[in-house]
Amino acid sequence: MSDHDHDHDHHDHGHDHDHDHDHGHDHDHGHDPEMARAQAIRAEALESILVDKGVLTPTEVDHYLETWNHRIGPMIGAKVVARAWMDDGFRLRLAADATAAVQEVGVNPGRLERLEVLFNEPGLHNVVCCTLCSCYPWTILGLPPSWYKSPEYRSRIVREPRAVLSEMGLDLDDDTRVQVWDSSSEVRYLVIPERPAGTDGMDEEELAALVTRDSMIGVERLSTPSSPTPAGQPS
Amino acid sequence: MDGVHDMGGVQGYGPVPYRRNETAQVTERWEALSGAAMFALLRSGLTNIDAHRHRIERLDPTRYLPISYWGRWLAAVESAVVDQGLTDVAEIEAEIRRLGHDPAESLPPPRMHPVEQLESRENDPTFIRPVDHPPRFAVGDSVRTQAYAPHAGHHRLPRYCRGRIGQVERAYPAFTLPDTMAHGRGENPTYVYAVAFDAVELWGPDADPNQRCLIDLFETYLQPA
Repeated sequence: MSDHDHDHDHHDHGHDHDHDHDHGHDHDHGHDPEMARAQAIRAEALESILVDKGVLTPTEVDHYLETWNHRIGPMIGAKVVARAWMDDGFRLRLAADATAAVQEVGVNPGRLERLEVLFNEPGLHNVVCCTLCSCYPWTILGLPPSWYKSPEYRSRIVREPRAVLSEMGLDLDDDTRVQVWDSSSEVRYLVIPERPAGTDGMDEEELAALVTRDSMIGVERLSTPSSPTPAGQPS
Repeated sequence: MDGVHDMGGVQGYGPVPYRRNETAQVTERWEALSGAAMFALLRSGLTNIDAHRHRIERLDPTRYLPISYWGRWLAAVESAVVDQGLTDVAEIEAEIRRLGHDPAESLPPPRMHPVEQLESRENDPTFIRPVDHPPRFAVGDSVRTQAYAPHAGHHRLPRYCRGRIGQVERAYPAFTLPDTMAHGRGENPTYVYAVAFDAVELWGPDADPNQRCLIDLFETYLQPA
């Protein structure tokens, strides 16, 4: 039931990907074609009934597809991170009231009424999860990736975060305190990753392009960009 | 309820199915329908987010695990519309036939843990409420969580932190209480705190001494410690 390495080629996605590196489309844990078909058949009937009863409009599904796949995403959170790296005053305002502060960079938190930021720094690493369901700051980061919703992540990250992060490619030394934030209320958390070295000459837009979704969940640490910095200023 | 959903600390699961910065998108229409239908029900005041979460929790564990995240939403949508009397299983199956499929090929109706569940019908999508009493705890206070599930229905006190002592790390406003919202018993705005627990307090003396878990908890789950 848990094939993670099935063929993705049958999906035809014509749109561009964002700046992610090892991208690829996710499928939820448990995705298998037979189950998907059984659910698709039931969903089609439910859609038809809900449209007939006036609960759902026929174009609504397409509207959400467009919003979730194209209008929201990690580029929103990346703007917040880049500004926090550039502007100490903004950093303080984020710490005091992130929900208000993010609006300074044009971010609309939408349904999200209380956003909190977690600053990663030398010696302190924050990582976010939701053990009870899959709470996630959709309006800041887009849809959650499939691994975030997986039983493996939800069960293990609170108990053995250092081991889980190491398996995911992030090795923390023993002196670094690891803090796992379990989003069990309507408060949502955004990690502000450490600014990578070698980025001193970059402007806000260039910095935002370096910020990955996974670093804003706290499962990735950003490294020095491999290409020369545009302004040519080594740190 | 102590359901399959309460996964924190459960042992036996393998490696996280992780691919670095994979693009998170809805790729199948039925998944988008599951989400869109749920938001339509929210907007119509036919359910609320807490009732939605509780429907997912009530799914038979043998069903919960294999059907994926959006599959759980689809099951919760079907359960909600049937509970609200908008349709029934016979009508859904008749519609499946009309659309040219065999109901036997579709996912069967969700099997749910029989907890009484009524919706709060207020159509207010916000959570934070002003209250006229002060919070009971402040940042730095030591608190002890309830040792048992607060009740048989929906709540947000994970098993892995019950009966444990922690410290208030951040203090938040009062939010509508999921425990009552999921059961049609009103908003009962309640203060929320991010409570910090040392890993050793949660997992025992062999746990990582340099790890903490910070869990958002409603004031009703907490006593002074």
